[in-house]
Amino acid sequence: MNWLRILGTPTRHFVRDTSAPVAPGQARHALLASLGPLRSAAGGENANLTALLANEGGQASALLADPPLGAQAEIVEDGAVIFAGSVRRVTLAADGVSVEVQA
Amino acid sequence: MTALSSRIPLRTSAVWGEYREARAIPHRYGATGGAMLQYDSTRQAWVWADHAVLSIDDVIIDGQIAGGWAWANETDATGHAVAVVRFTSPVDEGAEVTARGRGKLDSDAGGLMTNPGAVLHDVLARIAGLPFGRARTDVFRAECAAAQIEVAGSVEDGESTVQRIARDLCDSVGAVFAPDAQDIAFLWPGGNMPPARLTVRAGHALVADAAADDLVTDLTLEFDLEDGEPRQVVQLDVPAAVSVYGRLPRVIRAPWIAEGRVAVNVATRLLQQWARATWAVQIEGLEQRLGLGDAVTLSHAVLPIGGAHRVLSREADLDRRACSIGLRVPAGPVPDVRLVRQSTLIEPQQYAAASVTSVPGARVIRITGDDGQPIAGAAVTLNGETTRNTDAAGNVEFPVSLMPAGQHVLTVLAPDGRAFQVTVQV
Repeated sequence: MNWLRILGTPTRHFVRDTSAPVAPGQARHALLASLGPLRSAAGGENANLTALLANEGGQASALLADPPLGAQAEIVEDGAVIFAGSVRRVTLAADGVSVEVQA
Repeated sequence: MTALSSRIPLRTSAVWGEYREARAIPHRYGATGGAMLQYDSTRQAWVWADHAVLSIDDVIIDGQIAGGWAWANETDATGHAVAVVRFTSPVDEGAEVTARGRGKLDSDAGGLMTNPGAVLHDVLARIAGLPFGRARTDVFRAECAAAQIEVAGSVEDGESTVQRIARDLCDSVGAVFAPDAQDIAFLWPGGNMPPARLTVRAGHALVADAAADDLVTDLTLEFDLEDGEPRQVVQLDVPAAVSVYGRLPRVIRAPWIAEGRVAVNVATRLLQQWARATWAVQIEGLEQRLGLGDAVTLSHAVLPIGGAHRVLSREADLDRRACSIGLRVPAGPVPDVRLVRQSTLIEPQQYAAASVTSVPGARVIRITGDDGQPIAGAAVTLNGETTRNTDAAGNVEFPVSLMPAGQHVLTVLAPDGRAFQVTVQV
């Protein structure tokens, strides 16, 4: 099981469902629709990944209206951080919110 | 027929007939300076502007203040108004002759023409002859008057396009040039917001994008240009944004700003926008045809930020009768902006330099040699009266009471015997 964690005040966990083992007391949002491919290339652009959040009713938009640009972001899988970077871009649309994380 | 994309149609010295090199005759605005054009073969008559001016205050020949001249607004051989300096004796062949003065008069408002809206209209309608009525700069003119934004500079490059000049003028003061809008220019960011023509709601297709690459937390604005080089800078930052995003610097140049007060105003408005995340918003499929500069309010679940915002881009599908618009919507509260420094840099004739920085109650002057290195232990005499020595960093300090606003002469004697004189403008 993997999810997107954006560090800040508060730290937010975007999970696929509520069964994700997020530490108690931390903000958990069951909005993660998919994690895009993790791209990296030797001598090329920094490794990056785009997470897609469901946005029915504008719930993801409401959470990210002040976008956490520059915030540390991590992809957590089975309790371990498998990718870490910072939020470089956020795009809001009716059919979903994309969060681009770049190393 | 002149278009915005055409070169600015300045008159050239060829209209005077006998002179060998055709050079564009400048238009001058505000308190500004620039090279003069030899009017005839006597080398005693020189033209500073292609119109009447308020005054010509100083004449410089080959870098030295010159005497033995008088100025007047006259009509040239073609019957056109020009501002002329007449010397009592001929100027040497090949000499570089420049002047500083106060330029074009505002026939509508009276006094010196320094309002950016007035200057914009003058360039577009009077110089370029384009069909822009004065009313189309009324909003811009009023905004600038309310914010006490004034400009100074010259239109003297006959290779520039009309559009380039208009954009440089608007960019200098933090404004948008939108020639196909009813109000062809307006202050942005900041400025007045007109009544909204539309509320964007659910049902309108909206996409908003914010990128970290757009952030700026430390802004340096270079201004008060002479011979294309800045003589003053202001630097501002947003401490709260620096702590969140880090120091993200940008340097910009405002060729039409000559006063520190205006530079701080413009840099503050820009940084208040650039130091926070800004949504680039696209809204499509609107039935109402909106124009650039029109205001819309947002009430949309995809971007839960309210308020009114200016239309900054627009695409009208004439076949489908649908319109798409672009907005830039800042997120979060307006940040506090801090003035970090405001300094003057003057280069004297001998390539050594003195920079002047104002701090509370004092002027700090840094003396550097022609190699750019600070001169430590130099004796610096201010206006022939007060002498102090530079420290290890080449800095010497004088109280503001001894260096009020205006010109001051510094005489520098370095430990190695180098001696030079610098005139600085505070």
